[in-house]
Amino acid sequence: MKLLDILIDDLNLADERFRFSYHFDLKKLLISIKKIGLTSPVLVVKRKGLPYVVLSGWKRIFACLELSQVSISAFLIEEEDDSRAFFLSLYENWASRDFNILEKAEILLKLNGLMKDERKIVREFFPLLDIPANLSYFDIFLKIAHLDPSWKKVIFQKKMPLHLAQFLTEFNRDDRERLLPLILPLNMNKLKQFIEDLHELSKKTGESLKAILSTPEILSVSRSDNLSSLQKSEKIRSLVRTKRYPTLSSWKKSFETSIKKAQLSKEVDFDSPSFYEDGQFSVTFSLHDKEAFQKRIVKLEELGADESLFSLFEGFVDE
Amino acid sequence: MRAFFHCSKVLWMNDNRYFPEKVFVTKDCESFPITKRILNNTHHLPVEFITDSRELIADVLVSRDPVGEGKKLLLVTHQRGGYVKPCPCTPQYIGCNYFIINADLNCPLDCSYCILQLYLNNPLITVHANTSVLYRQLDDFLHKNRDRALRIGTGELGDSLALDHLTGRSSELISYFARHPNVFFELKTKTANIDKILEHKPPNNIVIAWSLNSDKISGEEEFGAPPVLERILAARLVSQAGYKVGFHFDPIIYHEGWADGYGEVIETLMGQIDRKKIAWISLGSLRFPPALKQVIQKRFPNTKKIYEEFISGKDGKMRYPKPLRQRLYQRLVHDLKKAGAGEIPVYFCMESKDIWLEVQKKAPRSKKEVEKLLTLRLGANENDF
Repeated sequence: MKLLDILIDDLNLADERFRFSYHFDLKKLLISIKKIGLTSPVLVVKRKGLPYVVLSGWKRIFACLELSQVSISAFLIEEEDDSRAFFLSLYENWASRDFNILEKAEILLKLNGLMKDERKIVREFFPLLDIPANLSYFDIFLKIAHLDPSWKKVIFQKKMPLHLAQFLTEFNRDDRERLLPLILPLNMNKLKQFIEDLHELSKKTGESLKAILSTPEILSVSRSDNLSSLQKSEKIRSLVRTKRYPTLSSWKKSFETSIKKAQLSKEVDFDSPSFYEDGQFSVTFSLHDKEAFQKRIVKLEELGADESLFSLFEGFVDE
Repeated sequence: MRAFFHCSKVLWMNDNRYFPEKVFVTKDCESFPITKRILNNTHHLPVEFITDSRELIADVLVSRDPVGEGKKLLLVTHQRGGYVKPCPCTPQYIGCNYFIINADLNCPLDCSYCILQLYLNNPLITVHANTSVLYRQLDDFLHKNRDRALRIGTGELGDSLALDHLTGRSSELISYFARHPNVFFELKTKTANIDKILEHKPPNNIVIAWSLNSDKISGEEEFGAPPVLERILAARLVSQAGYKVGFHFDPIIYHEGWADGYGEVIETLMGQIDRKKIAWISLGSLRFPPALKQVIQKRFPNTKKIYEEFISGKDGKMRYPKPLRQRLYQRLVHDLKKAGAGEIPVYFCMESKDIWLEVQKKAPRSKKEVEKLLTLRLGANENDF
């Protein structure tokens, strides 16, 4: 292993045979290089064509390019065998950081090409990558590796968990295209719920996403000029949720209607039982002194005489 | 009547009974009587004697479908832990004071909703052969509980009879419990594998029980299990031989035509079985830990039953919302009464006090009361509780 100072132009950046990281945030590294320079040389090997193929250090190289540097410190690794060179790159990175699901997917794609023996890959590398040692996960990661770059970017930016990324691979390309603008404005929790609901609705009804998202109600929302993209996503998410859980949604609506009818004051909160499972309604109110307390008591007495409120206790009938 | 076994995902049924593709025996179990019986009954199959089962299990766990692959292999080995345990039931719901014997692990049947799919330490069909330890542990356990009525069974981690033609396990257990009249021993099955049962003179404290479902659910979700009618006919033979029988409508699954579907099974059941022979009937609606959903999605991509509306119950398990569960139970209880099962104890498995009250108009104050409800009629002594 030799330490060299090489021209970045001499790196064959089109040769990505050892690359498994495609999405990075360079911000911190740029600041660090500006302040103290590059402290950790990249790893390269020699192959035909341009003299050097990058083994490890893509992020550092892109940061140096961003800073218009022309050369970079590199260790030249003398390794002719691609498999062994890849393992070197893999272990070098593995020792210093955790991989995200996109990197794991790329690693497995590369290993699949290099090793061919999938059981061996599962047994040797899945424990390193914190993946359950089971071939079905191999299939999932390979599908993720083949997703379009636009989706990979979303998975990276939203830090999407594996099962959501897996659901995405189960939608066809057209459906994914349709979904992309709808999920971009949503935060992670809402995005998770939206994709899960769509996935399950599609499984339950056998409908494609196109069919699910083409109801007149949803179309009128998506075509509205008065709504922002976030408002559209929120409304469509809510419509999909109602379609996925019609009974629970109708109970929620019925509860909210009853509360509205009772015209409760803002100081009193009336909560439904959790999933209507334990039958316990709760009433909470806040106060800061004796007088406020007495006022709440009077209000509660008024509520107790309100017949319309009693419909809440009659239970929810599954039609 | 439909064919005895409908299409299964894996072709491991032979002559309507389970035979594995290969038998593995850990060398320390070679000389046990149950091992010898298994080897005798599987003499036409490849057998491998192994020192340690861990490598074999790890190899199966790597496969795309460890549960499905595990069903093709029979492992005869030691039970390292305790054989006898209280039924774990579920937190926050009313239990029934049941005890379980973990004699065999996993099941050759392949029901989509099966909880065993989540227990992936060992996916192989496993027979624990060190039965002298089992009986020693049972002796201790029964001695400690000698002054009370007990209910105990083997159907928790596998079907009680699915392997019986290979192991003869039921004969051993029935003979053992025949000597303990204060214990009600239950063998729980979905099969019609009753030959060994019928070889015995039926002791009073043995209950052979069947898990039942609507024909539609049985056909669509219980792969490898015989149709419900076959189970009922097997129950009739067993009850005619003098055994008490039990029935478990569990899991009750909400589906199109569910009311008629379950109603027809109840009508057939009560038309075929002498009600005096029925020890108990349990009802339990579909419930599962959230993690099971992904396993079902993967192993049974065509099932739609997991996409109904579920809520997270007080125990964290996914359940139908209470009003729906109530409706399911009310209908089944109504149909049971209408079919003449009014005197038979009907209990709920892992249900809330509210459900008991709404459906049965009374609720047990404790799991002991459930136990009493089920065993007094079978001859348990009032002072045993």
